[in-house]
This record gives sequence, structure tokens and C-alpha cells, in this order.
Amino acid sequence: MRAEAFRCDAAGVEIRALIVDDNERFLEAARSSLSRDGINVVGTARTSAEAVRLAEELSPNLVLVDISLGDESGFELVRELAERFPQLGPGLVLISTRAEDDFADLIATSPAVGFISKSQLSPKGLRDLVSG
Amino acid sequence: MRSGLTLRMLLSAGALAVVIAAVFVLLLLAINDLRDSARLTRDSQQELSAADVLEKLVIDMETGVRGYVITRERRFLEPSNEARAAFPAAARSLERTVRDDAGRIGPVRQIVQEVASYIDEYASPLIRSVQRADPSASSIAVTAEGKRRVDALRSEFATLTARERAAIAARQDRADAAARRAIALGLAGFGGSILIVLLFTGYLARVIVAPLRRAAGMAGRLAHGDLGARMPETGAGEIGELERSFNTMASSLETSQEDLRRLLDEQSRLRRVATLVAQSVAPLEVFTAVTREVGLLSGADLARMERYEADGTVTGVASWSSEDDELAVGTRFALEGVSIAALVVETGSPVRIDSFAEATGPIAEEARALGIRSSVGCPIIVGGRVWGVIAASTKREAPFPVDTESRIGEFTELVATAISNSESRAELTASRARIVTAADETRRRIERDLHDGTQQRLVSLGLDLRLAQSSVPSELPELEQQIGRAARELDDVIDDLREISRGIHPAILSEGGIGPALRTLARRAPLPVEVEVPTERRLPAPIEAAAYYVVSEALTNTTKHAGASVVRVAVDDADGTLRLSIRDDGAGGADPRRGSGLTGLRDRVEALGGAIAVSSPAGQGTVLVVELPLEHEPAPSA
Repeated sequence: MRAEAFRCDAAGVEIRALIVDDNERFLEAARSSLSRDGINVVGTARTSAEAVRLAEELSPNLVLVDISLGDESGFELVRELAERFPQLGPGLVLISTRAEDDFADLIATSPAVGFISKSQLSPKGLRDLVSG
Repeated sequence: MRSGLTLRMLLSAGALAVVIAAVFVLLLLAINDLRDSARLTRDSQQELSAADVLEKLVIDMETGVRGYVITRERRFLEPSNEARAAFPAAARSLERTVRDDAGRIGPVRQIVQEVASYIDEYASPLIRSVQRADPSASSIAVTAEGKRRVDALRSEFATLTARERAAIAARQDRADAAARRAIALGLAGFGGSILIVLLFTGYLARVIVAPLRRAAGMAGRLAHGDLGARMPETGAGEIGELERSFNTMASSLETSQEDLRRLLDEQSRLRRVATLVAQSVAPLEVFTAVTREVGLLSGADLARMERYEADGTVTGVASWSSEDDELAVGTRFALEGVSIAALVVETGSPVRIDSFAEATGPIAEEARALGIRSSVGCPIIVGGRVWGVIAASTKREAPFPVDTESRIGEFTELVATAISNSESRAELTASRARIVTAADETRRRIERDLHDGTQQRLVSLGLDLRLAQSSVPSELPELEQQIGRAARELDDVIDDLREISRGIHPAILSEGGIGPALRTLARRAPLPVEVEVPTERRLPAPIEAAAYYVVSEALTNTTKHAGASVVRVAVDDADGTLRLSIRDDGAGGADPRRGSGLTGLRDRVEALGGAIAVSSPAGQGTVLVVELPLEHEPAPSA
């Protein structure tokens, strides 16, 4: 699946990204940053419920989930998305302003394909991660 | 009664004296009789001897007269003349021997007169007729006459002598009888005296010596601690008094000993409770102990401690029963009707109820159902407020002794101290816990604020900068580079800030709990750390924070000082206690008091009611064990 996704991307298949974060300012910055590099940000969600709804409606193939969703947990959301949308599996990425090794233990046990620090957020990094 | 024994002694001695005196009087009388008898005998012998002399004179006269008549020689008349001359003296002598005896003087005078008449009427005329040479003087008739007279006189003398001898013999018989009587009396008196002395001695032995011996024996038993020893109070007079005094003394000794024993008992009960209080055991344990001690001390059948609630009810907190009666504990009672609890809270002083017979209300009903006759209760005053009451109840008829309230009062003070201590401790613990929790909460909030605010904005700013950087036209490479530098610097700032945030509060702890947090710590440590956390369940935030900081501090210390090659961290969550051990294979010899890090941890752990122990023998590594109660809550208080 992973190799296939990579190939698809490499073959010019459009990346449809959904960004889940409770911070408006970051959503804007991320959307601008990713869009500029040719990633189609199809939607942004600020809560878990909204994220699940948009994942259903928009069928993204990449979901960036902030670990700290206010009172909600990004890990929980990732688990829920992985259960409900198994095809999303390779496109589930955790993001945070904190460092990876702050959450290494939890990230390792999460169904997410990987983690990327918000400050290092870039299409290249994402592609590297998703392509494994 | 006072002089009873003295009177008895006097009476006994008096009886003895009377018997002895009687014997002596009788003896004296007998001796007197003997003396009289002897005197009379002597008189009779003198009379006999005087009569003998007189008779001899008569015979001498007759012989002389007869010889003269026959011979006419004057020579023969000599003895007769001498006899006639001696006659008056002899007659007086004879009469003198009987002059005091009227019965005997008659015959003596008659003899004397007859002798005198013989001399005057016969002898003297005959001699004169011879001298005148009268021939008739030698006649047969005259001679016969003389012979007849002398024979008559001699017969008279014989009669007198015989009578006197008979009288002497009779007197002798009487004297002998009197002497025998006196001897018999003497012997009887002697025997009687001995008997009386023996009886008296026996009496003395019975009424004085035996009781004294009993008293001595009892004194010995008392001296050896047998204070139950008593003696029969049967003695007379002073001995009886002595026996009663001895028994009184023994009773009062026994009472004193009983008082002393009671006092010691009370003191030891107080000491036991005071020790519990000093050991700061749970108040409930003190309540139970005090209730039991009060019950036993006051001789009650039931004892109960109750706490006044803010809603005007009372709750039983501890109870004790001499049998198996169940007094409600933990149940709330309304303070209606008559009860010790109601009276105590009303008066704030010790009270007693002597009868529940007419009383109404739930407590009185319970008392009646249990057969309680009377109760006594004392307030437990904590900080000037009537906190509760301890009541003792009896099913017996007799009410509690008057000093019961004051004796219970000593215990209520200890209870008050225990409660006050416990409240202070609970407040202190709660306050420490609050401080730690508040500090943790503040750090967590600051970290979160930094994350949600500053860090997010800086990150967004970074993204914007990179966007801007990529948007710079290629003909402005300097600007592109400047923006790139700024972006990298911003990344450094973000990294620094992230480091600071992590130091303020580990996000992983809030996010993942103790297992992920400890594993993250282990991953970052510069030496191998094995973490064993069997549970993934979330624990109270203060517990998780304490466990995290303990391990963090321990790893820091081990890294700095121990020279260890591996550290093992084990977490065990059982029996409501989180047990955490951090064991290294380093040099050991760590001083648990060294370093403020460990002191801070100790404060944190103890604030949560936990305990921390460090074992660090030189050369054998260091073991830090922390126990944190998961259900920690302040001790029960008002």
C-alpha cells in the first residue's frame, strides 16, 4: 500500500490533505505553506468530531493530526480515524510543536505512520514520511 | 463494755480472795477454839491439882487428929495444925481456879465449906476435948463421926475430880474435832484456791491469750499481704475492742489497697491511650481504645462515643460492650427526647441520667431496649467546641460512683488532643498536598499556555517565514538568505523554548500517563535504563507527577554520582499503593540527606501521605523506594 501510494504520488496523483489543529493561526500558516508546494489542503478541522466528519466527506489521503487538540487527544483521534477509515492508514501523520522524543513512546504505539514536528512541516518531509 | 475485762478480772480475783479469806477465818476460829480448849483444860488441871492439895490437907488433918486422939501426944498434932494453917490459902487457890465458871464454883464452894465445917465442927472441937482430957473424945462414936466426915469429903473430892476429868476429856474431844475440821478446811481451802487459780488461768488464756494469738497471726497474714484476713469479734471487753480494731484496720488497709489498685489501673489505661495519641495512630483507633477503657474503668456494661454533626444529629463513632450487645456505630441519631448526648451538648458539662424509664426519643428507646438503667456522659471539647460525647451505661440498679465523671474526663481530654492533633495533621497534609498540586497545576498550565500560545505562534511564524523565503524572487538571493537565517534562528528559539517547556512540565505525563512518561525519561537518560511499568491505567495527577519527578531526580543523581552501568525502574500498583523502586548497580554510599533534590522529593511524597526510603550501602548500588497511597485522603475529622 505504502509503495503504491508513493508511486501514485510520484505519478502525479493528487495529495488531498486534511489538517486537524485547534490553533487557527497554525492552520492558516500550514495551509499556505503546503498549498504552495502543491499539496491540496482539502480541509481543516479544529476538533475531533469535525475531523471525523470531514474525513468522511472529503476523503483525504493525508491527515495531519495535532497531538494536543485542546482538551482532546490527537492520539485518540488517530486511533478513531484508523478504525473508521482503514484506507487512511498510510496517510495518518501526527504533528506537534513539541519534539518527537517527547512522545516517542506514544507515537510508536499509535497507528499513525509517523510524526513530524510542526516547525519542520514541509511537503518534502511529509512525502518522505509517507513514502516510508 | 469498756471496763468489761477489768471488771471480770476484778471479780475473778475477788472470788479468789473471798474463798481464801473464808478459809483463813475458819482456820482462825478453829485455832481460837483450840486455844480456849487448851486454856480451859489448863484451868481444870489447876483445879484438880488445887483440889488434890486440899484433899491431902484434909487427910493430913484427919491423920494428925486421929494420931493425937489415940496417943495424946502433941507431936502427932503437928501435921494437922500445919494443914489447918494451910487450908485457907489452899481453899482460896482452889476457888480462884474456878472463879470465872459459875457452873463449877458451886461444888467447889460446897467442898470448901464442908472442909471448913469439918475443921470447925469436928477437928477443932475434938482437939480441944482431948486437951481438956474429955474421955468422950476417944469414943467409938466420935471416931466414926470423923471417919464418916472424911469419907464424905473424900467422896466429894472424888466426884469433883471425876467430873473435871470427864470435862477435860470432853473438851479434848471437841478440840480434836476442831483441829481435824481446821485441817480439813485448810486442805479444802488450799484445793479450792488452786482450783480457782487454775480456772482463772484457763479463763485468762481463753479470753486474752487465745485472741491475742489470733490477732498476732492475723497481723502476720496482713504483713504478708493477705488483706482479706479477719478474726471473729467474739472477745469480751478490751479484747473485743482489739478484735474489732484489727478488723477495721484490715478493712481500711484493704480499701486503701483497692483504691490504689484502681488508681494504678486508671493510670495505666490513661497511659495506654496517651501512648496511642502520642503515636498519632488513626483517630478511630483512639476512639475505639478510649471507649473500651472507659467502659472497663467505670465498670459499665456499655460505652459509646458519639460525634455531634452540623445538622444537629449525633453519629456513633465507637462502642464497647461487656457482653455482646450491639450498640449502633456509624448510625446517626436525632437528638430528640432524653439522652446523654442531648444533655451534654446543651450544658457542655458532664451529666448523668439515673433512669430512662419515662424517657422518650430514639436514644432513650435504644437504651430501654438494651436494658440500660442509668448512664453518665462527658463532653469531648475540641477547640472550645463540644465535638462529641463519651457515655457509659449500666444495666445494674446502682448508679455509677460519684467520681465517674471526673475519671472519664481524663480520657476525654486525651481524645480531644488526638482529634486536635489529627485535625492539625490532616490540615497540614492537605495543605502540603494543595501546595504541591497547585504548583504542579501551575507548571502544567504555564507549559500549556506556552505551547498553545507562544510556541504555536512561533511555529506559525516559522512556516510563514519559510513561505516568504520560497517566495523571494531568485534575483534577490540576499533577501532569501536573510529570511533563511531568520527562519533557522527562529527554529533555534523554538527548540530552546521547547526545552524550557519540557523542564516546566512533561507533556507526555498529561498525555500518556506514567508508563510512557517514564519510558520517555529512560530514553533520554545518558545511561541504560530498564523500565517496568505493568499498568497503563491513569493515576491521579499528583501521584503521576510525584512518580515522574522521583524517577527523574533519581536518574539525574545516578548519572552524576553513581557510576552505574544500568538502572532498573519498577512500578507496582497493588493494594491501593503505588510502589516505585529505582535500583542502580553503582558505587552506593549515597547520603539520603544530601542534596535538595531528594529533600524536595521527600516533601512531595510525604505531602501525598507516602514514604520514601533510600538504601545505599557502599559498593552495593543504591535503591530508592517510594510508596504512594493511591486512595490518600485526610484522616477523618470533624
